[in-house]
Amino acid sequence: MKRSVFPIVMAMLLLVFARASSSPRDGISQTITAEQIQSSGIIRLSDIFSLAEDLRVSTTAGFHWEISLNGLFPFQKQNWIVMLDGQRINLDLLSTKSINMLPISVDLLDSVKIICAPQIHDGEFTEAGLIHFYTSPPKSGFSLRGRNTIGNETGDPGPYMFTPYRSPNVDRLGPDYSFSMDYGNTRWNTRLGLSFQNHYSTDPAILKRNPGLEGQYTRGQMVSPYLKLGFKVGSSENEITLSHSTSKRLPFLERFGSDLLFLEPFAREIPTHSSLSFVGISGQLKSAGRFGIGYRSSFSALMLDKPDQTAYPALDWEMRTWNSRVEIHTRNSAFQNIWGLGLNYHDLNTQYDLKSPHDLSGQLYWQNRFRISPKVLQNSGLWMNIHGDGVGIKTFVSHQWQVKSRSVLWSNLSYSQRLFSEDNNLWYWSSRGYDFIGQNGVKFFPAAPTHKRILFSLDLGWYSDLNQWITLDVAAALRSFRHDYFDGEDFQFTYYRYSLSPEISLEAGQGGTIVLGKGGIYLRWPEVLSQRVSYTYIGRIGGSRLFRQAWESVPAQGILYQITFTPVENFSIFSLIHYRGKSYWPAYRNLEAQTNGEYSPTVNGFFDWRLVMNKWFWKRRLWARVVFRNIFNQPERYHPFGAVMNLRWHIHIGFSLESFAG
Amino acid sequence: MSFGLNISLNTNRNEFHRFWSSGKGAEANLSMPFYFGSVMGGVRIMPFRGKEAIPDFYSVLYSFCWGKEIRLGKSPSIFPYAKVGSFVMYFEEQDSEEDYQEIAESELAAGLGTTVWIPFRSDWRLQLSGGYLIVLSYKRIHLMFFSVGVTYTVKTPPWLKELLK
Repeated sequence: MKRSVFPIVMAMLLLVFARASSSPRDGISQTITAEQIQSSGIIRLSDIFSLAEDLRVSTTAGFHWEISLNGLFPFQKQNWIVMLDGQRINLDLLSTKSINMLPISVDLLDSVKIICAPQIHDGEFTEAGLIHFYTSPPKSGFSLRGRNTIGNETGDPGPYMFTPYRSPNVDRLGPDYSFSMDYGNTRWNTRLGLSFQNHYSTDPAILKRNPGLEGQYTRGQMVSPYLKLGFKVGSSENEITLSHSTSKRLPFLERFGSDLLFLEPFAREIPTHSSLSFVGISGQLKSAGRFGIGYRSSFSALMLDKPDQTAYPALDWEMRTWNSRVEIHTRNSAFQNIWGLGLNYHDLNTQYDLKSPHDLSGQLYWQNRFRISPKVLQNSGLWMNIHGDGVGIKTFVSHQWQVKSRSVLWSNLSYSQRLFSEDNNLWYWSSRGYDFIGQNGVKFFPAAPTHKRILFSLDLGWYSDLNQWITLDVAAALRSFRHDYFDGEDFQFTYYRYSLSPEISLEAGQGGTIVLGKGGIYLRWPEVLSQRVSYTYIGRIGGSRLFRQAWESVPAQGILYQITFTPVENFSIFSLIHYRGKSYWPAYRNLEAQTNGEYSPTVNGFFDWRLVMNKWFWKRRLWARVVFRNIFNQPERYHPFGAVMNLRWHIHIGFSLESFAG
Repeated sequence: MSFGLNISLNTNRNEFHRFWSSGKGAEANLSMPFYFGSVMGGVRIMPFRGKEAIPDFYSVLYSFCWGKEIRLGKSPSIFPYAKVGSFVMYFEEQDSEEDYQEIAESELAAGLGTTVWIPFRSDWRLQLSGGYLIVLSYKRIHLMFFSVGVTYTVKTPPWLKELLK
């Protein structure tokens, strides 16, 4: 194991002086603020996951990430919802979600809210969690923002590439760029943005098992133009968003490459040209006091195309999604009510012979907020999903009880039925005729589940400000799953031709129970230091075979320790130490013997230490940031087939010119 | 703030030097006070000649140092520092009889060192530096350097102070 001389002294210094850095929590959700995002060295949207306490992550090449959020689903089920400024965006890439396809760069973020328990949030039922990105509203006048990031991963051969000590090159990082221009006044505002992301998937772990992958297809680029317009009409506030993210070659850019999509059921990478087009409109009509109407409607088209001249199979996937909601808000001194009506429509454009390319469902929901007493707040709701295959009922009730002036007990109880159609994933569309797997050498038995998936969920917690400096929080959760489905895989590996399971079958009727325990401390003393340390544990109680196997791949233990040291206004040091526990991937159980130990179904636990130095110049109009990640140079791997991410560093420089000439 | 120019030598010999021998290098640096201690940014260029069939390369080290200046008596001072930077290596590889292509490799480097400053005129100082650098390539490269040069100190202009705050 490689070691670095770096940071032991720095670590000691920081621990001596350090205090907790906190992220606001209300038990059911975590909010990551702009200040945390800016100081923590985040480059891409997926880096947000590293600040989330209730989240486990998995990746192979470091661009597409799977998550497991607060025991709500394992890595096999990427059913979590993504929203951007109140709009739901479909980022479903077959069996994964690609958060880095969102068209915004990190410096536009005002906050990120992670909903960790089932409830209704902005017209969506969050039985699989929800991550909501909020961008900062344009300020009055003109504003310009820009950022450039370069970086590198250690472990390249360097000059030894010409000697017997030659070793493979490891990944370059970036460069990533972004630029945005805003204008705002009292009646309307607009933002025009553009971001570029470059990602190299050249880790030996990926290249060695993809010998046919040409060099150009291991470099991915994502270009994302973005336009947002906000305007007032009478007493209503409205927004229109247009964006397009693509990894295709653009005529005005001398760039090429592909988006390497690791398809888990296939256990291999497939070069694709992925693109996401999005149009959305939303608004709120406010009347005097007690009545309001909200609406949103969006269209997205997510396409997975085949790059030219590659021998890899074509995914031939274009998913068009319409998503709409209309809400009526009523309130009085004791109650707030939301009555909602929604529509989801998916249309899959593909050459495979589908039973029907269309999928339509309607939603009815009601949400109530009621102050039972001066110290007890209740939030409850009922949500119905109406589809040709049946009706899914979902409900929740949560309470917050202010026990003392600074002490809150909270709870969240939920029951939900989930239809197969709501997953909108590879398995659902395979059962309707999308035969990509079957036509590419795999015997696939796409048995559709016959029952609705049932989730019973209970969260309990307590948080308390012990004094002005210390906040404690503890929580526990129980999740009971019934009538779920998982895919059974058993990969075999052969060098020089990728290999996969000869058979994949969906097995329904799976179920089991997950328990979670977590706790954390915020320390805020002295003023220049803030610290936050948290621990989460995920355990299984019983469960069917495939349920247990799916959850074995989610690390049981996680520790997150964040420190921010701000001795003067325009300079700060941020440090994060993350422990990711060990995990075991049963589908890859044959790897160790078949690869002579090169790959293993066990992904070992590791500590990841990040150090960031932030300096602002010229009254915070310019800034520079140096980021070091994995300072201990531990073998940072998240998946049996995944890249090993060594010690790496980035330099970010940027500018933010706000509210001039307005 | 102080501008410095140095001549640098690589003074150690190890496994790396089986394949390359170092030539004299040149270095430019700029140092100024920081919130705590002082910071110094620099660029050092040094050629390395390959032995036998190994290609030559020249290295460019872009570095950033942080340390604390400690006065020794009335005028000399010592500046121990920690350094981090990008060690960029430019190779010229022969593709064919006529054709060369330039290959660049870069890697993170980190190290420790000490500089001694000895004033000899009002704004001028003699600068002597010694340091250790580790280049974090897959097979680590351990290098020790010695530099000698001069620095010239100027008062930081107000507009620059305002920019840097």
